[in-house]
Amino acid sequence: MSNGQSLPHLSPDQISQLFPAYIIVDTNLKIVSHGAIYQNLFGSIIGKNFGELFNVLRPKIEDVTYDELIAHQGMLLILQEKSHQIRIRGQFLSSGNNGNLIYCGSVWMNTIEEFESSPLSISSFALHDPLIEMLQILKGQEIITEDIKSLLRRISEQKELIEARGKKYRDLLENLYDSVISFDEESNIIECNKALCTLTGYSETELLTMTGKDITHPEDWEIARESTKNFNETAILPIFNCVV
Amino acid sequence: MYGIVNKAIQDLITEGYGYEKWEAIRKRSELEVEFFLLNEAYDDAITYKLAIVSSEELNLSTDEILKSLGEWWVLRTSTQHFGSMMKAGGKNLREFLINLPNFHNRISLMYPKLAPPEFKISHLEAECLHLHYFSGRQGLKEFVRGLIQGLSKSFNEPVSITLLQTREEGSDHETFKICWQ
Repeated sequence: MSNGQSLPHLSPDQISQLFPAYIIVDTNLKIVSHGAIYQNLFGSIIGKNFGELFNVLRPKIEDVTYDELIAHQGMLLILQEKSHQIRIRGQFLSSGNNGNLIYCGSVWMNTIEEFESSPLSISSFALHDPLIEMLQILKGQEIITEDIKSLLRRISEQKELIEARGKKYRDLLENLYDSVISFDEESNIIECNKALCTLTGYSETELLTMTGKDITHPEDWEIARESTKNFNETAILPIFNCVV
Repeated sequence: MYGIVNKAIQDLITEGYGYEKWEAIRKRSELEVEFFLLNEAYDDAITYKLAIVSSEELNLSTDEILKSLGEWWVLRTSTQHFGSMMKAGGKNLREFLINLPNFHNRISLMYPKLAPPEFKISHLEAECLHLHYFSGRQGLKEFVRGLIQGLSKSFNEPVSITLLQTREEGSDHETFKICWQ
């Protein structure tokens, strides 16, 4: 937007400072001007065809023609230069009355390692371009993510171990000839084995709705309760005297 | 797909049908992973398997599951994880849909392993427009329908959604006609 006054004319060097990855193509898609980064990647590319040097990654354009690029003005176009697969994000705009199109774009990368392994340097990015700083911030997040992944792996391993031990305990319990029973703090039965079912004549489902008192001889109840006093958590007791 | 998609299925099932049902689906799907990391890429096969097993466990068609997931994605997952971007996408449904192609091009830059679909808008009229959906993935058109329904609810703008063409009938993409009611 402007207040009606004409905007200053920018030289190619100035445009390159603002958009080091800019390209201007003519109506035959020949490159007539370009930003500084291509000099490092290809040498001079003046006069070369746009399609020789770049792929359009998105949106999908089957046949890249001048008319297609005109039709995609105002859309984010992601290019990939062919020699180093460097991605550039930007958009085409009509440039002047000669039909030329200018692509104003910036290099795009997802990791700081991608930058390090590329032939680009910090000067390949405009001063207003925050990408490098953002990649450094992302690197910090990536380290945190790796720590969390490692933690999750350990939790999974520990869970499997607990499940395996629980199964072993359960198998052991089921195969014991002795009756074993677990109560919660209110003396509700929360676990029992087959031997207890045989001993009491109740099914496991029935026993899990009962309390210790229900299956203990009244004279033994106080003794049983005393013996569980020292347990802060769930008590597991062998049965000594049951009402059967 | 990224873990966030599988996590969305997990949340949809858990909230709608309970944790036990999700555990049953997770076990039947023979998932080796216990947790989905949102920004981690997972094999697409996991997502398809989850959708198929969920449909069997819940006695719903896969299309119904995908449509529910589409709505859930917009109303819950996107709001929770991409709330700011969603708000920036448009002030109303029409503006949001017109911005959708560029929105997805931006998403492709943020999530390089995602291979997100492409959208195009055509036949832009006062009351209707055509939304074109291009994707390398098969069988997700009902997910897209769910997304549109979710957006319609999110913006509180009731719309009718008509599938005009589909890859199942020989086209190279799906086209939805969306009309404001």
